[in-house]
Amino acid sequence: MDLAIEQALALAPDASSVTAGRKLAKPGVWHGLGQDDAAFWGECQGSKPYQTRVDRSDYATKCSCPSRKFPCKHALGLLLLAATSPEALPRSDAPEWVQSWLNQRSQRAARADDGARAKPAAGSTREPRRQERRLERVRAGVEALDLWLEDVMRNGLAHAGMQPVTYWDQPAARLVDAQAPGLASRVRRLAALPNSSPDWPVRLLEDLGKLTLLTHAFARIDELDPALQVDVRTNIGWTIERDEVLDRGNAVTDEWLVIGQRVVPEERLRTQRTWLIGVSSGRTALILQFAHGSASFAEAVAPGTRFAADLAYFPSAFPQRALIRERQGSPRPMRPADASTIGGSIDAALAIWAQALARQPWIERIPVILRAVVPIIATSGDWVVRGSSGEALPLEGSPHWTLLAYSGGRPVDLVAEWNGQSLAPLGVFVADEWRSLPERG
Amino acid sequence: MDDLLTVAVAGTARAGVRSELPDGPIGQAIAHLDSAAPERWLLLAAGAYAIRRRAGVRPLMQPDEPVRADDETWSVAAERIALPLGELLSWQSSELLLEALERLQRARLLIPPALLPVVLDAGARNNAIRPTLLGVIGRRGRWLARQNSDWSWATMPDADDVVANADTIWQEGVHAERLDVLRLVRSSDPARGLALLASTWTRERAAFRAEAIELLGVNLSMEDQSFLEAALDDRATTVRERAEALLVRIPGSRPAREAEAQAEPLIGTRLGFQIVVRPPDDVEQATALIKAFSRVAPSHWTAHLGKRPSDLVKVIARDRDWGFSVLTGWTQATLTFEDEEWAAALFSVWLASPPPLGKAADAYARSFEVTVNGYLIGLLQVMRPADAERAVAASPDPLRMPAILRAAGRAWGAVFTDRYLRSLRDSVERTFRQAAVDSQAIHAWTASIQSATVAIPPGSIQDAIDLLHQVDEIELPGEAKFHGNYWKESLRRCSETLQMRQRIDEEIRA
Repeated sequence: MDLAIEQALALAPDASSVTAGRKLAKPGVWHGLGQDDAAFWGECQGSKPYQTRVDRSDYATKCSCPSRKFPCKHALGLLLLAATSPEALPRSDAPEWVQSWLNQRSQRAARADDGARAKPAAGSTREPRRQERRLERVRAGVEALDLWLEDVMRNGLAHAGMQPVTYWDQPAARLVDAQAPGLASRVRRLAALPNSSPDWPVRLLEDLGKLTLLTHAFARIDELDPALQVDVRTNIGWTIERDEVLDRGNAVTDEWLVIGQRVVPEERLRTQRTWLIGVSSGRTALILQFAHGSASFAEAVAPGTRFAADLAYFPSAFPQRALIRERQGSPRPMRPADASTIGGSIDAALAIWAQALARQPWIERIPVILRAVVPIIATSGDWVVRGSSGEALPLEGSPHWTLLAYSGGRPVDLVAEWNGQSLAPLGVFVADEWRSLPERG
Repeated sequence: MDDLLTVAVAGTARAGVRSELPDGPIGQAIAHLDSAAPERWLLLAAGAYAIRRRAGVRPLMQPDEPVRADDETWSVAAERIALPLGELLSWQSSELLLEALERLQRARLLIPPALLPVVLDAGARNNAIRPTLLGVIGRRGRWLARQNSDWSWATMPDADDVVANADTIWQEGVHAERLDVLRLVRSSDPARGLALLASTWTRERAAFRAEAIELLGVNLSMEDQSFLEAALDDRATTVRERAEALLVRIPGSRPAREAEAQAEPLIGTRLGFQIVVRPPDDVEQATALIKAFSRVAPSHWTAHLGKRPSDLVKVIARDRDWGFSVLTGWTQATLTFEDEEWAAALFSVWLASPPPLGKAADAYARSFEVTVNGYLIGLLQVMRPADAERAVAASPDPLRMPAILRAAGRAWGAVFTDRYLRSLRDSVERTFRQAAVDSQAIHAWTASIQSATVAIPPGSIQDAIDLLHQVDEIELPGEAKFHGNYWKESLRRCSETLQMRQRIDEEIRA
């Protein structure tokens, strides 16, 4: 089997698609099923047969049905069928409607590459002036923010805690106008803190402090290490063009294990964080993607798989975010032995976290792989994972029944995001096989 | 940080800023900021503290060793069963889910851990699947359930544990627990159950006595006779009535002999082969007749009238006035006394040639069919499996049987399955050979298939799917399109159910 059920399910946009896909994961509802090295395909029976195809290099799908979900239930059904009964898809020559789609995809990819290379040259004459204008605006915005911050301190947190939401939204909006969206969202997030917990004054003061460290760093950005300069600019809201990363980013070639994935829905946008770890380099990488509504993410990276690729890291004092520059071959399920060398104790994870903060003080989270920890419900009712000597870290939110069920009170190897306060479980190695964990439950 | 916080909460305008620097690395880090505005100094110091606290976070301590789930004695099923099982959990009816769970249990396989939270939730919502689920959630499932109060249903002690601790539970348990323990003890050790009940009998409240005495019906025997006879003088009417009803079931007891004496004059032989019914002198003759016969063990008539049950029921069925009433009384008695031989005899006659209502018309006119079906279902449950299979296979109307078999929880025999599918095919073909579509006939076999889908034995599922597929292909005449599409849709759902059963069959094997 070269595609795991886990992988197929991980591609689903929502739970109802999974249910619908499961119903279609039977050979009986399909005609003309087949596969070759490049694709799976089949025609789903119905009042009107739909032509469904899957590109095996990245599990991108296309279907002739009118569904606006990606992948649609037919594509999911085909993926699940390929995962559970690959023998139902006999090897054969791809029909024309599959071949032409694959050709279109590779042509489009080639065009995108060409376009990417051509772009910097075209805009180069106007670029510096635009950049300078933006820098001026951001400077002005940061100055205004500093004044506002001092004002908050002068009046005190008790006063700030009684203010309406507009108290926080107005300076945030001014920062958006000043083209500093990173700062804007930090200010907007402050609004949620007052009265949210007994220790909210400390948390608010800490966040205000970290924000001030950022404006302070920006004021003397030229004195900073070049990599940290990029972090400061990124945190303020400058984006780095993909092409720049692909062309000039630090490249690492490795066999990458996809150890976890989290999709965070916001109002209209969904953010997907996919964590990778290199088998030989031991480096972790974050593939960050965004999609509107129920659209699919551009790059299909299925948790529980491994693939060889060149990754290009975004510049940073603690490089994490990366782009997949070039894949070598199609993804395969992680092998049991793959996981045996990665991860460590709770103390080791905390040491990595301290190093990360020392290099990039505004870092929000890192992936951790905790070896031999036991998830438990502490007597306080809080969920924690416990190491062999009784050291423990809290789990984010609750409950985590699936994790508990996997463990049965025995040590497991846990993959999670650590944000300095709690662990958000992403997956667990059970008998050396990786299993994704649902966000809730 | 506490100092900083105090100032920050009040505001520098009111509290001012402490000028002294904090000790240590933080103090050094912000020493050069002395010239900054006090507010800015405060914020930067807080920021530095925040980063330091984040970087220096220490683990909590949980000194107690976690409690482990015990090792399983059965294997855990492959995770691929999560797909069909997950789908079944979302279905309206739990019949197929139960089938899948029972198959797991027969194969001595346990639910994979990842699915345990889902099935424990399902059990919390649905009482009917609990006993079966308990057999397949394993020790891991019980261990998990002990940690979530929503899943307390799965932490019930084993029946064996309950029986072992019966005395304590009987003395200390609450109402429902005590009744449960009595039921369990009665089924494994009836004498001990009676002893339990007798040990506290005089101290029990009337409501409890009434419920508890009924449980002596489990494995009732002569041993219970003297206790029940004493209960005939109980202060509570319900207790007296229930004791009497139980005593009637004990051959040789006074109430049993009285019931026989009361019923014997109502029936007799004439010329050695005729059976004569002499209804009692009562306003409600039919009802009185039924009641009188329902209280007498059917085997009594075999001896008293000197004929085999099959002969007796055939002769009585021909009595146009009293046949229905006598057979009804005998059927009720057969169900109470669980007489296998009489059950087989009565089943045949109710199925093939039920007598007209006769003098019982007033009481039963509206519910004739339902009543007869109810008798058939009950009798099937009492019959020996081989008798049941033979009787069902010989049924004159196979299409009617799936609903009865389903209600009785009886498996399909190979001979009957074959007959059923053939007559279904004939019936379908007959319907469509006719010029006008007979919606009555369609309704009959559609309903029949719906019951059959959950019961057809695995070996015949493919035949049934093929048949449904053929029906689906039939082009409908214009005037039948509307209803036709409706029942085609319901047949497609049957087909889906059958395919699901096929998947269960493939994926869960012993």
